[in-house]
Amino acid sequence: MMNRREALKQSILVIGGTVVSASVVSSMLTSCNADVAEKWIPAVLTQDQAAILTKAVDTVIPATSTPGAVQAGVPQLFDLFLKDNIFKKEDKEMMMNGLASLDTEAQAKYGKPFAQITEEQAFEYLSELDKAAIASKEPMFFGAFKQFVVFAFATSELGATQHLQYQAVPGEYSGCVPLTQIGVTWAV
Amino acid sequence: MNLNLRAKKENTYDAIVIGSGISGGWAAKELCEKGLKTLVLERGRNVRHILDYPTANLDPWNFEHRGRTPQEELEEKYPKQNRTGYTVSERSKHWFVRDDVHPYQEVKRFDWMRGYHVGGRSIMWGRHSYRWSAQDFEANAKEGIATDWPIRYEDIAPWYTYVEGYAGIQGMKEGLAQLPDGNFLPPIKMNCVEQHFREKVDEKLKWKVTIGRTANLTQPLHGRGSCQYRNRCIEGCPYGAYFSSNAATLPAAEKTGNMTLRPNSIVYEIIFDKQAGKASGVRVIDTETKEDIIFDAKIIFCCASAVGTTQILMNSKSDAFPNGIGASSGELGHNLMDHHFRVGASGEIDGFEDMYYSGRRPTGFYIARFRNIDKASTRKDFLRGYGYQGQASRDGWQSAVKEMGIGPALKENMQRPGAWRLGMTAFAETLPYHENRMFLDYENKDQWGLPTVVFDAEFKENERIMRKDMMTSAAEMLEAAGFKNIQTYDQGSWPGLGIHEMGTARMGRDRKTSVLNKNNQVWDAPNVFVTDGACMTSASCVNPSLTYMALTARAADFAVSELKKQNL
Repeated sequence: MMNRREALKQSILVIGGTVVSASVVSSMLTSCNADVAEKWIPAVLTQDQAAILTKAVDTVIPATSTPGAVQAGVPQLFDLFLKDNIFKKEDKEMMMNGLASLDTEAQAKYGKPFAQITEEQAFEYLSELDKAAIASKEPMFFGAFKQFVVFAFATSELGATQHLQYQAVPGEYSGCVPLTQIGVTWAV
Repeated sequence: MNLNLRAKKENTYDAIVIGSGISGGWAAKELCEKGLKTLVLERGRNVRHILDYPTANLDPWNFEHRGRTPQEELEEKYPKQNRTGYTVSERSKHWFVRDDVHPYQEVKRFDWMRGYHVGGRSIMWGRHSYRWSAQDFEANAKEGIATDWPIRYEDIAPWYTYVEGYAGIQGMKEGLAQLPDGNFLPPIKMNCVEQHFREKVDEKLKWKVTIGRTANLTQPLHGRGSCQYRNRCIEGCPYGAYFSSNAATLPAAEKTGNMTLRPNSIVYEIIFDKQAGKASGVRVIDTETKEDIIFDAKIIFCCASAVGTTQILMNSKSDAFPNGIGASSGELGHNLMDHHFRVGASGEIDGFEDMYYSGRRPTGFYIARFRNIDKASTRKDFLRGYGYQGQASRDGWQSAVKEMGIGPALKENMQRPGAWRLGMTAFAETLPYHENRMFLDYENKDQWGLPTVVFDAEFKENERIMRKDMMTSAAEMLEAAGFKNIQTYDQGSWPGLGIHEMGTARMGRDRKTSVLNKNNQVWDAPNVFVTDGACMTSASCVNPSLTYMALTARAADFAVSELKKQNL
């Protein structure tokens, strides 16, 4: 048990490091994400929808010094949730309409489909949606979408073990520990 | 298909136990250890300890839908079981019945949560284990409510000590009359904020916040391992670190060589022998072979859950008892109780930002009842009282959703633990009302041709008035301890959802007003014992399972001594 705990503690030191700026890392990882998207044949989404989804997921949680949500398989989980009706009907409609609107809005704002705008443009545009969703009292597409991406990433193996920290078998409970000794948020 | 197989010798036992949950497991252990050849009949499938806990070692990402259940499945298979909001998940839905296969009817909403399998709800119970107090056993008599308990705290206290010693209950001794201390294992610790809350509530209000006393081992006990702080009890524990029939009592019964465990066996009738003046055995449907089988025994322990046991007693009709065994008092099926809850408050606190915790506890804190426990705490507006369960924790990565920011900023927000938040929910006593009842519907039968259960019960004025106090007291404690952004809530409560069904075959002092006597014997059939939730004469505000354990062990001891004296 102690060996496992020590190993986990050490891994925390590595992953608790500084966060590299989004544009630097996303340019490094664009090709990698493109490969992932190409090999993936969605069950429900069209290729166009999958491209919008993947770009949006990558913008919300990009790879930095830790893996991003695309590497963690978040677009694939979204497609699976659609296929198996995990979303409630009204949420599903909101998600699908929301993804479609990303494309029409990107055309209006930037003259290109969402999947083809630059990383900076996607970040700028989705940041606006984020502000609006947080300010809104009504449920909005981006709020639900962000919630899904965060959930899917945090419960993925890469997200839980490399961005957050996860102990399968803690072995003991300590109720008052300096945060500095623990590091980042627990995945569960 | 009514074969009515009756191989007399082969099908005859000293004792039959109906049900294998918390009460049935204890009955099996006690009767087998006292040398009785015991047949344990369980209506559901077999569940072997550790081997049959399919999700217990999966990591979050190994659940196909990360724990979530498809909408059609929720709507078609689990519309009622899903009323808890947390049980029909990929983690634990296999422990809950399918509503489409096991229907019941509601005159008024009743949330009947159950699992049909070896171990019953002892696999997925909440594990909170509190002794009832002297006051709990006296309240009906003092207030002129329903009927008096035929026993007092002194009658059950040694049996609490006994079952606690075997089950393993962790807790802190507090010296409170209204929440008697037990035979505890070392307690699980409170975290910084809970400790602060305990101190402030004690200092300013004199109310007691203690660790939630639960059946989780903090050190190895009787071959079971200690808690590994995964907080995944509902999936079944590979370490046997919480009390369940599967981990504790059934293996003990098995070890004696006296137990025959028969899953897939629905008991639908207890056979009454009019000449002998007692029950001779039970009728069973084997759900796999569809055979109808009779088993005989000298004594029968009904431990099929409050509703399940009452269902069997009601369906045990004969010339002697045309409305079922135990029905002669007119109380069988009546006085149905559950705790009402889902009301409380939460708040945030500053000053602990540099502290965190590690490990996942299988408990939180408990706040002992403080209303109507003495002259000073007596309320004019309601009878009885309530306690709280709750915990403090830091907001996790989920809170990053509502914080501004995407991209690297969002990732940073996810990594930084959020505010410390403390929340609590009150669990309150419900009075026994004669008109709150269950009955059988012979028009709507299940797939076995058995009548289905109908519920007609509701919370009333005393409960409704109490709920207001449950909410304001929660806020009062948070204010006293310096919390901010305090939010109170009442999400509404329906009978059944507390999953503490009680009272439908109550104990009493008089056969005219109760179904069972002081030793849990059915007045009508003294070799039939009821030791599950059905036997409860009032509800207390504390979780009832520990009391079922103690009453079962006590009744088993009595039954065996009576058998030896040839009184049964």
